[in-house]
Amino acid sequence: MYLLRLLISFLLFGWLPAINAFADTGLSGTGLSDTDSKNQIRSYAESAKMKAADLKLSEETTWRALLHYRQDSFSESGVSSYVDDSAFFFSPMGHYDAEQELQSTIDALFLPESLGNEHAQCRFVYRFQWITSKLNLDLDKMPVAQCTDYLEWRKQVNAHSVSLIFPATALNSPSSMFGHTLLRFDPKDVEGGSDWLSYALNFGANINNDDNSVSFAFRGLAGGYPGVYNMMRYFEKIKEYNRMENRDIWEYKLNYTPEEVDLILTHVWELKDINFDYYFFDENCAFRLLELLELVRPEVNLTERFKLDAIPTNTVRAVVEEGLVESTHFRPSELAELHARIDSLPKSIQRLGRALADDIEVMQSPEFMALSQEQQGEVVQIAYSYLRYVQLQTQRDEEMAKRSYQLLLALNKLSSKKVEVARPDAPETGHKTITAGISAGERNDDVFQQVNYRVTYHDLLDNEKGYLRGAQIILFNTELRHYNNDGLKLNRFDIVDITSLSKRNLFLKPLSWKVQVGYERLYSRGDEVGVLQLNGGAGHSYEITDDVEVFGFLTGRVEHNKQYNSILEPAIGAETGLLYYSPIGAQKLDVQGYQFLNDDYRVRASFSQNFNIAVDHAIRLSVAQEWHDDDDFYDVSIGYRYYF
Amino acid sequence: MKRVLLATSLMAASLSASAVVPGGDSCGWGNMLFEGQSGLPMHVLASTTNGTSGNATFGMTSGTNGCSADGTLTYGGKSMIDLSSIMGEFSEDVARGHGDALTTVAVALNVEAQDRQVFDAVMHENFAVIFPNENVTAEEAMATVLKVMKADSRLSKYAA
Repeated sequence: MYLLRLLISFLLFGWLPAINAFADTGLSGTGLSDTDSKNQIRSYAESAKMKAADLKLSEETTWRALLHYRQDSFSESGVSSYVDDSAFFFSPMGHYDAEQELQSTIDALFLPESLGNEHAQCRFVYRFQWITSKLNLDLDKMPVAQCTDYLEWRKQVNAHSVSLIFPATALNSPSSMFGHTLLRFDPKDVEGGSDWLSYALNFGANINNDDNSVSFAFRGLAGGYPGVYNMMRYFEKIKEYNRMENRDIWEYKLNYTPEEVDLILTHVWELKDINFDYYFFDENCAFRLLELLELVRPEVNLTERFKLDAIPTNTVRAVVEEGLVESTHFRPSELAELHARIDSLPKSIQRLGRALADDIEVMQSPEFMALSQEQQGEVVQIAYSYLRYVQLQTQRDEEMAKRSYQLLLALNKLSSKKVEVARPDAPETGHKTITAGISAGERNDDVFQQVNYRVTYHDLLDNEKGYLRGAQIILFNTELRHYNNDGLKLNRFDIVDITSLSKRNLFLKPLSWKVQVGYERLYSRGDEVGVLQLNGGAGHSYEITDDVEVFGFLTGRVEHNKQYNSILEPAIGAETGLLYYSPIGAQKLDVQGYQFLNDDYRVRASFSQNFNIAVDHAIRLSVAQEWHDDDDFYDVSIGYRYYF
Repeated sequence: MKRVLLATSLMAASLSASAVVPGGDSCGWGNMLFEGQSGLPMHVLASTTNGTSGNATFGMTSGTNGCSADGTLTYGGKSMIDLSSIMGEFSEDVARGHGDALTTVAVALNVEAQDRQVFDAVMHENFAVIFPNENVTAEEAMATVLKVMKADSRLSKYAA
């Protein structure tokens, strides 16, 4: 490890002359325009290429990383690049052939400097610096292009340190289900200034605004969009996540040195306008950023861990585990701030604030006048914050704008405290995202043993530490049961199972909802059968105390059940439940019923308790009773769950 | 003087563009208090799926997700960022006399650390002057900010 670091610092310092020459040399300084010097350049280029081949430079880790090569058994050369854009390669074979790409790159570096900003030296600065340093090239014998665009960009993105930014999952937004990651580059004095003006580097799918959400989701998963890097001021991202999407942002300042940050940016420039394939699960935002972090610190092990999927929380966890994080900062969403403000005020003040938001005359009312200055400030502030929240959801409304303005005028004369949002446990401190478990139980006097496996990621009962309360996102949950007198059965297979419980209060009236698709074994018309089903519902949820939430849904279901005459049998129903986040683990009481179009009905009441043993270990107890027409039965089980 | 023009452009960028297409295609996040900033919440879909809608940028130009995509102001050939989209935050911070948006504008104006408190206080006192009504544009507000700064003995040097 230490040797590698030494090597890297050597490389860094080795480049300094190259960087200086690069910045300082003028067009006139080299005098390389006559035929002789052209021939000299040519032969110098040829010797450089031979030297590169002799040194097997193209097999070095940094070259592989710079060109984003990975092992690929389908490729003749054994490697292929993640980059799917011919503009990234100088050789037509560059996508597959590291050696040819290196040779062609050296050729390009020796092209006449008149290419200016399009010159290989300007377009691929990291490669240029790396090759010249590795081959110990004499810059006086090379054309030196004027890279004004690059230099201006570097001046603008004046970076000293880098942070990994993690906008967390948002309730009610399934497409944010695993969060997102980006990098932020801060100038030296950011603590005394404003990080709003720092630059954020984002990798995302370059989407087509005209696509509808279905094709959008499909193409996102299947890789139908090109992925590109872009950079913008960080406040654009704060607006987008904190304000528009109500997502908390976690900021992990990394312990990369200014020299390492400089190198990352050198490569980031090379990725400008370059298309990658974008896949939602693996080749996504999180994965691409890990590549960057690894490029300048090859000794850290990041991308190797995420061959199949790169869920942002897990990549954050990896970055923390590799010891790259210096400090963590929590930036709550505007909604979290509004909730904190609402929760900090007595009901009477809340009511007044809510009324004031609708009617500015409330400020003249006796109730308002009777308040202390400080309380008046709180009323005005919460009314303003609420209006602001409402405004975000709609087009500009003259009346509302007028009221908001009057509230600001009032606020200007009163005062209001900055609201403190309690910092929750950081996402990487929560349980891991794959779950496996074993359990035993009994269903109608039939003893069973069960194994279950869930690809990802969190249910309502799992340890809430590091996760968003009220959000359940499950993909690919499998339960295999062995009944002592009926053999092995697939008990259930959920493809998707999402529940979003957003609490309502005097100000905020969000909808709670759930959707679930999959296979399940159940009792129907005298027999145990496997059915395919889709169900969903919408409703409300409320917080009773800090740790108790109740919810109710109106639900619908369609089922493919061989006991029924129709291929798809629809049902309507209702569900209500109570969640208690007890100190030992969450518990849920739940009753749901369905009335099918064919007159069948089903009611199921259940109680489940999770016992949090450790972050990645739990015991889950579950008791249920079902009623179907004339039959009723029970299902109890207890088991151990492991998260990894 | 140069600095002042830069900051003005920070505040004023893109108003013309967004006035043409309120809530239009390229227009970004957040319909706020002030004219010229309309929201198109459906963009949320794009960003939550980690998409970047439309024109990718590389920091050479102004913010792209905002209404400013077509209205970047430049000064001395330099593209500047668009801060008109934080008018909402800025006005609230001015009303209260503290906050990140206020700091950001101070930094953009190169107001040094030792003068930031004065800057905050002077802005706070002049809220109703800087924001005379709900239809003030970012450009107008910024012009008043500079006028107010010029009138203050400690801040005048930043607005010169």
